[in-house]
Amino acid sequence: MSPGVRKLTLAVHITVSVGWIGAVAGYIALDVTAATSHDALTLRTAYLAMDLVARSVIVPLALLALLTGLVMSLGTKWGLFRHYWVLISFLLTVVATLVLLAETRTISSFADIAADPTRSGADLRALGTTLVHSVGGTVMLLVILVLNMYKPRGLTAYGLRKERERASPERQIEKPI
Amino acid sequence: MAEAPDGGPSPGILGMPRWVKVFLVIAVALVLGFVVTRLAGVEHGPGLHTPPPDGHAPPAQNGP
Repeated sequence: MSPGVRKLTLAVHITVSVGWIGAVAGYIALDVTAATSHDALTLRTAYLAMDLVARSVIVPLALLALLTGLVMSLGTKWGLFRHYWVLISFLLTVVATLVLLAETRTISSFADIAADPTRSGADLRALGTTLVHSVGGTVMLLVILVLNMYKPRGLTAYGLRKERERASPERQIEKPI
Repeated sequence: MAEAPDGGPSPGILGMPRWVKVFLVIAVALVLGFVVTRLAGVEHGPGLHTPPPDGHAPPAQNGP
């Protein structure tokens, strides 16, 4: 990957990843409102906004973060399976994205009920919240952020093998094919 | 620490940095906690908060 493309991809990756965290923070504000409010109109608005934010902002940002992260790792010296911090960041991102996609179904069902004018305030209060998932997801995203900032040392078995091959290329030539 | 035949650190769990081991322990604990809550009958997953399709939320057990 050329330096220009690498910098552009990195800029996009940082933008969408940090944007993902910011969007989830906004979503949590709506989630807390849904958990604490007793006003039917406020609950209706909160559930509809949660659905809009989740489907239109959080899901696209999550998928873009996953995609640009893959491009960054596979297109640079870091690799996807060489360093523990890259591998763990990738796995956590995949888990967070899968839970998010499953949770989007729940949020959409909440919004469908909230959009129904025949539903009473009691119906809306009975829906509950997605706070456990949104707060848990935020913790996961912050862990990924810290891993990406500090890049803690540690090569995987695959990374060690690749390092040895790089350090002694003559061994590769001597190996029988 | 165990070493690979060529003198480098051995791959596998013994060659892992401490922070990765701590990370794995936390991950296993979380997964076990999730499995235990599932086995204990705590429902989890999308759609469980949704009222039944008859159009209204179930009545409260202790309500009037």
